Amino acid sequence: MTPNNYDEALRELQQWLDKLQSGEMNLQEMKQAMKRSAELIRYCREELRKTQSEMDDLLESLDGNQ
Amino acid sequence: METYSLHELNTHIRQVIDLNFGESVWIQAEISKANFSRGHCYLELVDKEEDSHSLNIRAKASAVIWKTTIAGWKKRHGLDPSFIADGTEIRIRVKVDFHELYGLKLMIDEIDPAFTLGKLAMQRQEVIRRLQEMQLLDRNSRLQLPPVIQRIAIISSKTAAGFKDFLSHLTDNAWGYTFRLSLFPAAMQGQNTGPEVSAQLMRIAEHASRFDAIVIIRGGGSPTDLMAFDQLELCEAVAQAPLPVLTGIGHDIDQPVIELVAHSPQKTPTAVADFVLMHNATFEGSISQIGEQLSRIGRKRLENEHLSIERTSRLLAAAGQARIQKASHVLREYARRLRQSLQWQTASLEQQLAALEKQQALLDPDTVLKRGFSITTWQHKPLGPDNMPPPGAIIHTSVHHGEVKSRVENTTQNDTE
Repeated sequence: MTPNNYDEALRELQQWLDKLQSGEMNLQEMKQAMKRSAELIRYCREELRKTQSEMDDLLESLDGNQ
Repeated sequence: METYSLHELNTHIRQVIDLNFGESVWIQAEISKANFSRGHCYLELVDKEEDSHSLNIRAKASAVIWKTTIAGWKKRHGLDPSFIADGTEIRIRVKVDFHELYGLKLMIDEIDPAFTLGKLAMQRQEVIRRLQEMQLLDRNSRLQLPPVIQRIAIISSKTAAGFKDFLSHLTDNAWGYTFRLSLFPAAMQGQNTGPEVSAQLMRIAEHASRFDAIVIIRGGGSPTDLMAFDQLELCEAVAQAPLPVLTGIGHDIDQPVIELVAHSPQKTPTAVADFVLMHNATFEGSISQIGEQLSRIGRKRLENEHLSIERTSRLLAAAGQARIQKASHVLREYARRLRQSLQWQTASLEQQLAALEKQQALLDPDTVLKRGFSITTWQHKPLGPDNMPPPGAIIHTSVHHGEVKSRVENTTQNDTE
């Protein structure tokens, strides 16, 4: 399930990590948690990259208009 | 002693006179009274003796100039009979005539025109001196003509050729100017000229506000005909007129005294008309000149406004440019800061994410098991204070390479927990 936005993804990631750290999960659960948190990390990385690129484009267009 | 009759006496006197005055004689005398009757002129001649106080008449005689003699003088000397006026000193040739019934009479048969005219010139000088004494010479000329002369009081004779010339010249003008003309008729030659012109000047003075100027005009004439215009009384009246007096009385050589006291003396009536027309035309010209000046000023003003607007717009453009430059500088600065803060932000996010990633990697169960750790569960849950298996229970332990199934013998709980 794709998160709605970066913040939400980050919040969920934190929750999974907290759970993983608590040691209250069995192996299956841990594997699922890892999979989900990896997904979330990818999503966040991608969001960061996209934002960076959009910002660069935006700033470039501002520079061009001056 | 023998007694004669009056007739005998007068006859004797006549015989004595005839005997002694066979030839005419030249005499010098002053005309004290002159009367014209049917073309003849009857005079009373006097001879005055000047003492320190007054003039005393010391001789008197009646004289006559026949019509034919007057006509002869006009023809030969250009003398107009108008010079025969009270107060004129003359040098004349007389034939002494005595009639038993009419008494002594001097028959004037010749005149010395040079003497008479010389006397007239002297009289003229005297009049000028008197006018100067009374400070009247430039009184009328100091009056200001109105910018436009339209209402004119004319002193002239209705029948004078000069008057008609003046009228036609003035009304028939190229500019189409119109005038309001009022004629104050007066004799323009002869003895009555002076008194009549003076009287009309008085009349006009009473209604001075109705007129712009007074014009005195007459046709041509002989020099002696102008004598009236040398008279002190007339010249005084002209000088004291409340309106500027323009004259056109026509003369050849000698300037009559009236021209010395008038505001604007012109030679002829048509010259007066020209003067009036030019005066008005000058005003009209100055008006249109003012109009031109105004339009020139207006054009200049517009030009200046135009220049000033251009200058202002150039300044505005420059100011705008500077403003834009400044604003763009500010924007560039904002953009720089934006980029910087974005970089900081993403760097911090990346850092955060990297930390989480690292944490996640550490938590990976595979990694944990590889390092020799194991996970033991009872009833699918990791063992913990709340999930302790009783003795005999089966527990599962996950290790890196497999799973260990065990039966619990005994459980103990740490006190520290």
